[in-house]
Amino acid sequence: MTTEKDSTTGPLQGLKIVDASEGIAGPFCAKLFADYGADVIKVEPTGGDFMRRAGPMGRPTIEASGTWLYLNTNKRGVTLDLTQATGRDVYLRLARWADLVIDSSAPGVLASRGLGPADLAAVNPRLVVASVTSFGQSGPYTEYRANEMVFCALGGLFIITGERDREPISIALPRIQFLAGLHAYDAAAAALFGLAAGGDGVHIDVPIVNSVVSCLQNATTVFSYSGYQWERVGNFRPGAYPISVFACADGHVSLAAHDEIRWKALCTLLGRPELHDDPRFRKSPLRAENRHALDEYLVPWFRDKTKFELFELGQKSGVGMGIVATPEDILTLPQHLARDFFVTVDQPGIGSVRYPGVPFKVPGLAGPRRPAPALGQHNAEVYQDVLGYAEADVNALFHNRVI
Amino acid sequence: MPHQPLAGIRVLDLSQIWAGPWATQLLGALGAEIIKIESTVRMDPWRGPLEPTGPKHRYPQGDPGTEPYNRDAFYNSMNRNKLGITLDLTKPEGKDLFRRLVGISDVVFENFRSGQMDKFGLGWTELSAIRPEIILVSLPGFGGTGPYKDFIAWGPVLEAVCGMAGLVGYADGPPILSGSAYIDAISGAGACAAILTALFHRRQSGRGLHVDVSQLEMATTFVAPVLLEYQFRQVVARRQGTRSDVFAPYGCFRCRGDDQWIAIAVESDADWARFRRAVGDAPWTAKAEFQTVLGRAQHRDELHRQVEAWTSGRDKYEAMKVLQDEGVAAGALLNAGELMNDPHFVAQKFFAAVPHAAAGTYTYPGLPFSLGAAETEWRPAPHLGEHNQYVFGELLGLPADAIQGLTDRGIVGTRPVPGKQAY
Repeated sequence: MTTEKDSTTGPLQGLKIVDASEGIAGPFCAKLFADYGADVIKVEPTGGDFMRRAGPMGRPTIEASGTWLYLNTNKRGVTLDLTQATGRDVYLRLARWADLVIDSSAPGVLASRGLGPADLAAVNPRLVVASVTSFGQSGPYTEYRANEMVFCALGGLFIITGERDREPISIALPRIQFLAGLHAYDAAAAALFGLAAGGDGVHIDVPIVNSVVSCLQNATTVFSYSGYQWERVGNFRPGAYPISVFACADGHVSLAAHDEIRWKALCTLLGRPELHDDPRFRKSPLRAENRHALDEYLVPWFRDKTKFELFELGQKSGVGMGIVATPEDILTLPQHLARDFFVTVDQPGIGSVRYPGVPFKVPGLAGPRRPAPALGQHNAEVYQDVLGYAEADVNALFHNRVI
Repeated sequence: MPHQPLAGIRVLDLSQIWAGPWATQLLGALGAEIIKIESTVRMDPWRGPLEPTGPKHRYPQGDPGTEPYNRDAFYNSMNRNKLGITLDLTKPEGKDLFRRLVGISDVVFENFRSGQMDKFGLGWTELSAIRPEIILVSLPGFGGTGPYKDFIAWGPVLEAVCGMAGLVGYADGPPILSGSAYIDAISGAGACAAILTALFHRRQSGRGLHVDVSQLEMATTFVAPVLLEYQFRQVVARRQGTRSDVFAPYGCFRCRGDDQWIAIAVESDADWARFRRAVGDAPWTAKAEFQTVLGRAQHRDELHRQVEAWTSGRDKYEAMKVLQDEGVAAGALLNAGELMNDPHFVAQKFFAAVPHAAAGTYTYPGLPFSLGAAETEWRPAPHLGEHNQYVFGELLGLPADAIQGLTDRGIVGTRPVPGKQAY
């Protein structure tokens, strides 16, 4: 399904990106550029992006990390050692070629090697540089170590998730890092778009922890307006019911029928119009106050039906319901299949893997052009054909562990 | 001067509530001119009820005032850097004015239920006939096609169907819905990406296009690691609070005070060595079973008890500093008030005070990125119909008496009409 030198297509065709970032956020940003047609060169240390060792692992090898393989589709891959002067020289040549460089190095490290934004701007004044780091380029936490949990802790999302009288909980999915990568794409794509009007490039600072706060603008603004603090409420929001999760025959479904229109539809669906007139349940805040009484009707009604039965019946009756989807549900969901959402990629050494496709479709996309690169797979192609090094020079770089 | 790469781009913003307005907040902060279109009979529901009866914490000092729809914290935060007009799209005159605005705009953006724009007679076929370069971006919950396209797609529904809800909960309990609807944050950032990508398409092809951005697909993109794990190992990550199957200490631990916590993540042996130093090489840390990755995971319960004995005697900030000084990944769990005063966000100047004529001066969050050194210039969220004069008078050239006529006929206005609103 792949050809090594097929031309790019898509709306970003012609854009040249160097992805020197590791982990999730920077590479996801670069993946979006790659999937929409830009020419993206992934530059890894000679030992590989550390994400190659992050699960889920197909096998315990650096070519089998599921997340790494997903994040690095459609990129050509090279290796480069920036601790050597020769390697830094190669990096400057890449910066001269590129429209955008994405990095995730700790603040100051690249500058200490003569590869900071000012150094790159000197060789390419129109270059956009996007630095995606945990806490940004300045401030008291620039040297702090972080993972998804720490971001959610310092960003205010962790404390408000879970039940009030138990420990807060988080999710075993790096969604904030994905979101930061998406925000980085927004900033970088806008910056590149604006360059057509002329002028110089710009250094974009993307502190991952700041993306958490974009999930709770309301909480901080309300605090500013009135001093009110959000609390952990589990599945019971004060003032609004029913919004919750219910067990059913083969799993769970979520229900959102707290506004008066949906509440009425729910009563009809349950075949209990009298609940609609019950004074305990007349308005959403009352339903919240009396939720245990209301649950005596709801819980048994959900319990003996399957999740898809409830989902489709509920939705067609005008009630907001959702299956609590398992991976199996997601991979076979009629909506995803009808819209051709998944793509199948032939991953060397692993076999056929289904990934989410692009998050939105635009004309001109050729679909997946290449799977994620093996470590250093495109060293010869990129260093010779793109940067113009002679073959003997590339071999010398390899011999000296520069690549 | 803040970097404004989208200067000159004009967006007609029909979106409401959170996901759509987040996309246009990002675009507006990057320099695009956002014309937010509401109507006096259908305001953005985030302006709140006309007569607030429930809790009033969304209002300045808890006081709705005489114009609560111009004093709502949710609305005023999400709609900064946008111009606000009103236009009744159910009336022929309103549609006509909208068509004229399309003629001078680059993007139309909406997050109505799928098919609503066609019902207005303002769908893609009509808009592209007015202006072939127009970009229409739609953000329906389940997408504009497919068997679920007409389904209700609120946060609790999408959280569940995208797979995230199933991953959150205690080991002994059901899935737990999020404390804050992050699906909207993801969808908004994704719609912004779609608009930007469409602008590149137009530059390349000379033509506009209609992009159908499914909020469900946007969120499911983030769930890829779980889908891959399932394909590799046919297992599903079980809900277990914030514990890890393979790493310990890992999770959140009580600190001194009521509901005070710290998150700690120790993975490698090198991390463990740092942790030991941070807790002063306490004797319990020397136990043989704690010295390897596998040993720590196997003896997680006892290890967590010991860690919590250490953390529970300490202030969460103090514990974080002690751990981070030795290079251990640790973060105090902050609430909204604490994070607004946290040294990181203060040093970043992340929060900024913005004066608003009806609400007063309050503090709002910044962007998840900064372009160059200059700070974002924030303009307050618009009052209802605040920029009618500018948009209809200056951009479309309507004389004053024409605008007055439109107001008299209820097509435009600055005061909501009771009895017809969303609430």
